[in-house]
Amino acid sequence: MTSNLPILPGTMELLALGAVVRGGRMHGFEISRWIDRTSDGTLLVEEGALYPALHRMEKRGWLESEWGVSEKGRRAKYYVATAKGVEALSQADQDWIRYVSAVARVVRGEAPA
Amino acid sequence: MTRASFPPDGRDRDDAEEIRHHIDEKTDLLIAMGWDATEARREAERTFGDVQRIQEEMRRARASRFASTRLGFALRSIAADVRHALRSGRLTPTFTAALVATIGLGIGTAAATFTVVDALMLRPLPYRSLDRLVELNQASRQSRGYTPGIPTDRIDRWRIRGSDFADAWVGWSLGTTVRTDGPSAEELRLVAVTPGADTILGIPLLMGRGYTADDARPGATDVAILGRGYYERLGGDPDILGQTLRLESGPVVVVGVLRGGIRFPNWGGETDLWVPLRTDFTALDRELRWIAGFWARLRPDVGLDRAQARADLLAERLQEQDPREDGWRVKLERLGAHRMNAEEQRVLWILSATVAALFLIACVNGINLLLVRASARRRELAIRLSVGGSLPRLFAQLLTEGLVLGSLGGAVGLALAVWSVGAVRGLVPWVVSYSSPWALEVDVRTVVFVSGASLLVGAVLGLVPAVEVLGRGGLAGAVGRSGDETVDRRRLRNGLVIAQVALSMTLLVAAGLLVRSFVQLVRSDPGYDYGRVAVALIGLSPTRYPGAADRAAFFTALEERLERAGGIEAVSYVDAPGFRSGAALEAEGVPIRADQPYRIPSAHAADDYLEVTGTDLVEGRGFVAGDAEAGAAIIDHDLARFLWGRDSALGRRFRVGEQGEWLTVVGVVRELRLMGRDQREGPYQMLLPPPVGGAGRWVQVAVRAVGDPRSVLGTIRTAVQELDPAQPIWRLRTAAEALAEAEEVPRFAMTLMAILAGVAMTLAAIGLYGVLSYSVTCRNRELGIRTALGARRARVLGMVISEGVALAVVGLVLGTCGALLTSRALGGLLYEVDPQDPLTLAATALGFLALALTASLVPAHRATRVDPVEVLRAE
Repeated sequence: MTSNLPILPGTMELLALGAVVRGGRMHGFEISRWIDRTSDGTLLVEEGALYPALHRMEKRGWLESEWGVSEKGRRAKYYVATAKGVEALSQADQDWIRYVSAVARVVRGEAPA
Repeated sequence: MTRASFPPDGRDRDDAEEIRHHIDEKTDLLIAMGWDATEARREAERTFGDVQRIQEEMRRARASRFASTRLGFALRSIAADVRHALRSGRLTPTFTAALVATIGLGIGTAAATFTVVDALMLRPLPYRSLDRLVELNQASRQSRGYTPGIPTDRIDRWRIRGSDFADAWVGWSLGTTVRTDGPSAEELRLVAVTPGADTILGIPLLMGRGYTADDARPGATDVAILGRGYYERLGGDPDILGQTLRLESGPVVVVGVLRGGIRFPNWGGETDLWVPLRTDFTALDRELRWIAGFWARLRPDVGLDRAQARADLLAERLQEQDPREDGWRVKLERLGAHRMNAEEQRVLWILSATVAALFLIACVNGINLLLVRASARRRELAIRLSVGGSLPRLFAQLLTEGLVLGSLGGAVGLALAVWSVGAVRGLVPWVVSYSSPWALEVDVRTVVFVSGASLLVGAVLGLVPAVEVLGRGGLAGAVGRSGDETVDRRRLRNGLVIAQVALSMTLLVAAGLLVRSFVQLVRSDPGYDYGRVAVALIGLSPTRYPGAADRAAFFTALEERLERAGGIEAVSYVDAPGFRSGAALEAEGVPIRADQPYRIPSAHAADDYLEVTGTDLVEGRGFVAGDAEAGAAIIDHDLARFLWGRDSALGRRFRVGEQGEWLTVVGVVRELRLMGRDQREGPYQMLLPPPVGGAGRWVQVAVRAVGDPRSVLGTIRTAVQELDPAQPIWRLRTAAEALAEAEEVPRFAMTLMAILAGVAMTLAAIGLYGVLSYSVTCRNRELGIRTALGARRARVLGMVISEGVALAVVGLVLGTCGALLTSRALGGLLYEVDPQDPLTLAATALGFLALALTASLVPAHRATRVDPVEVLRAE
């Protein structure tokens, strides 16, 4: 557990959007599992925090949701990404890469590319 | 966490379900990984986070732009908290009802008392330029802003000569008149007042006009202004102006109607009619020789001291020029300076203090009940906190709960106040009600008071449990188990119960003392054998019975008529209000004492009055023929003791005033309470023989019945009606009822104290019951084990009861100390009862102990029914 990283504020949306765009139609728990699996358990997610993020993106029109029945026969709310959401992810992805490399350069003392 | 704590909104329900789905899935996952089912759920809940906070964030994510601002969020979360509080109230109706009732009782009694004290003592009198209004009181007298016996012609002399320090003057007199054109003769209360009083004092009119100087000229048409109450009684006719009422003195034209709300001070009730005091000092054809009050409005540039100096000077100068001033020295005092005498003020302060204590008890009780519940909710709170629920958020929620409860209690309290102020109105002694022209009713000020009190109580109710549960790491270890409580927490609750019992005990002792004193007063031999006596107070009209002989003829005829009627043994009368007044009450051969009374209320009694009313003589005899010529007098025990100490008064002589004739004491009676109190000077103290061939205007007819005095009330009424259909009887009742009136102030104090103490005791019992019940719940496990190990029912019962009784005893000891310290304040109100009366203390303590025992019985009984098997299985 010591290797877990608390996620940076504001990253939750990015993670959830990424999960839905890459993984397709999923309900909340599946999204959280997806993040956990894909990050190899590195990211320590407060599971509940996922839901406000999903709702914010839905409000923004990046996601759509519908109620359905899960494989276990439970009622569950499923999310899919909209075109706008896919667009937003690619934009966010670029921003994120720029952000990380900028931070990395400063931290390592590299010259700008 | 139960589903019930989610707000009942469609989308909110969706959110809740979404969350639940997550937790269910997670739980399954953990179980699949080999977790125990219960542990798995707990872990799933923990890793999810604070459900309530997340739900709020979900709601906020969906919400409009405003709602997602800080303010919008705050408002929404407050609304959610209020909903939460109301819902949890609905879920525990008994608990909530007990709490709201407790707070309501506390706030209600406090509000009712506030209303009374406010109207009678706190509020400034409602007159324009109040800071410039002064009473002209007699320098030698402690008056109540009511200076009886100022000659009317003094008004003019002072008005004209005193214009250098005062620019307006009001003289007024109280009286009654009879209206003759109604369905039956009706006695009306009357204020005769100098013109312009409504403008000077700023008393508003509903319609019409006030008096002008023309209305006050001799020979002008008689006009009247109607009091609002009387106007409404007449049906509230909008065309009343210009209509004529027939009074015994003749017709009067209605020129105005008072708006009401603000009254002229008077005794009891409301004034029915205002009439102008004319410049020839008549009102409604009645000569007014004395006025009751004389007020002045100081010039804006003249302070009280300067005005007093000028008034002194004027008094001196008038003295030299006008012998009618006969040594009058005036004391200028702020209007309302003597709103109540010391005894009445003390009654009101004691009531206020009592109510403050009661309020405290109610608060403590409420806190205690909430603490009990808060303990029960500790697990819920602990979980939410440990998974990241924010402390301020939980705090705000508890505070909101307190405020919601406080507001509900406030609403109950307001209703209670409205009801009880109505009930108390009839109890307020007339002397007290005279002290203020404010109507005694719940108004804006009371509502403001209630709102403030509710907020205060609400905040306290919210904060104390919040601090107790959330602060001091109070939640440590609360997640896993419920039930057992820490020593600290228990000590706090016990302390609160003890405080309640102690406070209630103090109040109860005070009430007990007042009750005992009252019983003493009522039981004390009034010096009457009054069981079969009825009395009728009759005021003859001065227009139809102008002379003393006419009045005597009426009473002689009435006496004959009554003696002929069945069921009546004897009739006598006493010619009521009269004063013997003067600067010196002088016993022959004894130096004049400085603390002597200024006036001795006296009355002329028929020869057989003592016999008919059954008045006990301490020594001497009643009147016989010839006493009038001989200057005989019968005085009461107090006056005899004042003049001659322990020596016999028989045959001694005294006089009232240097010019008064010498009177010889022929008899001493215990007291003359039956005649009622003189409205200004207190109980009558002296009887004189009847004046030869005449009678005064006010006569009290005393009738000794053969049997129940109630049976002759109708006879008396009929006899008066037959003799003169236009003649009303002012008051008709049995002697027992008349005597009860003399006990107005003590009765007022006693009744209210008894009610308040009763409420306090009930609250303390509820508190005790609540704490014991909770303690039993907490000790379920222990009790179960004891039972399983063979403890007997009686033993378990005894354990719980002794816990309750121990708390009560500690409280009682403290309360007794409190009572001993505070009961001194009651001193002056008590009649032949020691403020530290051991009997009252003992009786109160025993009564309380019995109550504590009763309050412990139910929880104790429940404790004996704890099923050991069930308890141990739950472990």
